[in-house]
Amino acid sequence: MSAQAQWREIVPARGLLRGFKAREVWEDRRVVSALVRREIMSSHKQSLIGVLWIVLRPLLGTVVFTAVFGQLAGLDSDGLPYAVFALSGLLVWNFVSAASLGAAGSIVNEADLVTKVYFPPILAPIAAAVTPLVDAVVTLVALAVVLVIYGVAPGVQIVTFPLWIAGALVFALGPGLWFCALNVKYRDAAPIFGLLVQLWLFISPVVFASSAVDGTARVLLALNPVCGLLDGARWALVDAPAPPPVDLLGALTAAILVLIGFLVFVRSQRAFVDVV
Amino acid sequence: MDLAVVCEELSKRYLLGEEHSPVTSMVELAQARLRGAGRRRTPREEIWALRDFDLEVQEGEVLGLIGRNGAGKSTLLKILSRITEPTSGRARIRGRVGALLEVGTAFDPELTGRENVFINGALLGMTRRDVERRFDDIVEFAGVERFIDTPVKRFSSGMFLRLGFAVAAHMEPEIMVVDEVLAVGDAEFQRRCLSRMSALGQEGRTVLYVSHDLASLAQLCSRCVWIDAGSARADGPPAAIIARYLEEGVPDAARLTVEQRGPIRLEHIELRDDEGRPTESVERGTPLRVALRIALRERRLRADAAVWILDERGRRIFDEALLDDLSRAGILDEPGVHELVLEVPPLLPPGRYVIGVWLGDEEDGTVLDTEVLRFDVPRGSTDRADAAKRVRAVSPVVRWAHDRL
Repeated sequence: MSAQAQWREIVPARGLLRGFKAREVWEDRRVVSALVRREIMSSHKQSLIGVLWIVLRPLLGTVVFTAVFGQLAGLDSDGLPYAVFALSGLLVWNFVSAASLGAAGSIVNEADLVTKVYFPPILAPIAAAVTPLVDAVVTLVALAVVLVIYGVAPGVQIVTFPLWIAGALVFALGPGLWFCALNVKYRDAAPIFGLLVQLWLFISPVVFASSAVDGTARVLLALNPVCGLLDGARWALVDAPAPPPVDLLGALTAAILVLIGFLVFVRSQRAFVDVV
Repeated sequence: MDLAVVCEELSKRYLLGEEHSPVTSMVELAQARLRGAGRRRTPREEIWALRDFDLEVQEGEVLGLIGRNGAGKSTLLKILSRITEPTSGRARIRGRVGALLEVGTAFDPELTGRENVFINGALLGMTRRDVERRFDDIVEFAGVERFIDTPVKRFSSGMFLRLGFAVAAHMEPEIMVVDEVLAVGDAEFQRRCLSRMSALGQEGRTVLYVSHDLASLAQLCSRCVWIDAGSARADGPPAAIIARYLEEGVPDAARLTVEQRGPIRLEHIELRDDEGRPTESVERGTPLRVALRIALRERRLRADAAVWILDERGRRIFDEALLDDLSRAGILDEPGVHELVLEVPPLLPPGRYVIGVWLGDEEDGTVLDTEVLRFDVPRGSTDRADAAKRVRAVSPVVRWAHDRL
């Protein structure tokens, strides 16, 4: 039976990546789908209107934003109907914030699991970040309806939308992993991160258009990866202007954050079980 | 025979102290740093759960691990299943490891039995096809056919445990590590689990089994290792090792107090004679009185204490809990020090016995579950010497009415 089985060595983790092996993470990838399925099935079982909740939140946000920022403040919306502009922005923003907040809380939320069953720990934040994709897809349907109502048609660049969402997922994992590792050691890391994400909304072009900002401010805005992601996703979904080259700065910030988050996470992951 | 598990000088250190307390806030940490003006605080207390532990397990061996609470048994299983990593030394394993450290881990109460089986199976490392192929076996083993599409929150605790064990027991790993999971179920559950584990052994799988139930361990295992203070103290045939463990391994209560760190602690335990004085032996025909002094650091919910007794062969012949009678619920919940005196009518045959204590509550489950003291029931002056050898569960002082007709 196990004549051909290989010896596996269990030793204290050393090195920069503390024995992190991408191959092992890939081999255990079904853990991600199991955790995602569990989360989705159980969170919609107990609610009366189930899937409607997912649509309701961005729709209500859109109504409020349209009234406050579109009508009262009269913010610029790239020449789009404000509701279209707001909902497409909220779709991306809600995904980024839910994905990184979910990832940040994941190990602590799954403490019972990670202390009893072995899988590469990074799968827990990945699963938590993937879960809000479902909400994004449902919101996409709502957006389609809104587009029909306002008579806005997306261009062929809509085929690039999955890329923007994939980018958003990868980026969200950066701060998510970082705060996830911190949160295991210091439980107030999660509320602090929650606060940061709330503030983050205001430096992201969700309610205002990035094109309404110029000069140095525009460069600073572009350093926020969410800016480029919003510009790109809006270009893909609602035919807003294509993201300008300056938005590439965000990719740089994102790369740095993801690298830091990943390193902090893998370098502390083996200690989670002993601390969490 | 080929080896399946090798441990070489395996060690695991846990640090205790501020930074590892479950809820540390950054503010507290910053304050501590400021007060200490950047200097390191007092060195943290360290505990070696395993120290230079060596072990070789043959393929197909069913190995029992015994030892007191905190001796390092669970740490060893956690290292072998890769949940935690060693501090130094190394372990080598050949084949897939399946770990059953807790029954029903990750079961979601809202989901149905079927959904939970598939999700739990995936978490334990089974592919969807693996689970599909074994699904009927799993459900049959658990005996929940009629309820499989019901949310598990409506399951009885027995059904829940059986389904949890069933999933894990059907993952068919080459090496299975099982930690004290059977303590929670009823007799029928334990019987099923033990027979499943012995089946795994007969299929040539390697099983590492931790249990306080020494009698089942003796029955199931082909070899037994006694772990004491993080290293292997004795290794050999189960009956011999268990006998030695019961003879030498029972701690004195004073040492035990130091080692406990939970919210509920056993401060003192003694046997008392008719006049309430401490004693080490119980005369035939007199009741057994076990006095427990239990300290609660804070208010608990449904705090409970149980006393169990093992005979010389490690069979659990007695096990009674305070809350076995629900009218007593709540009497141990207040913070402070409680004294409980358990009185057992005279029913033990002459011999040597070990008393164990279980403490726990609703929130934390088991806080303490370990052997704590040894006592003798000496032969009465008119007892026949060889009567003690007869196999019997109880031997109350009986009366034989006699008339010559």
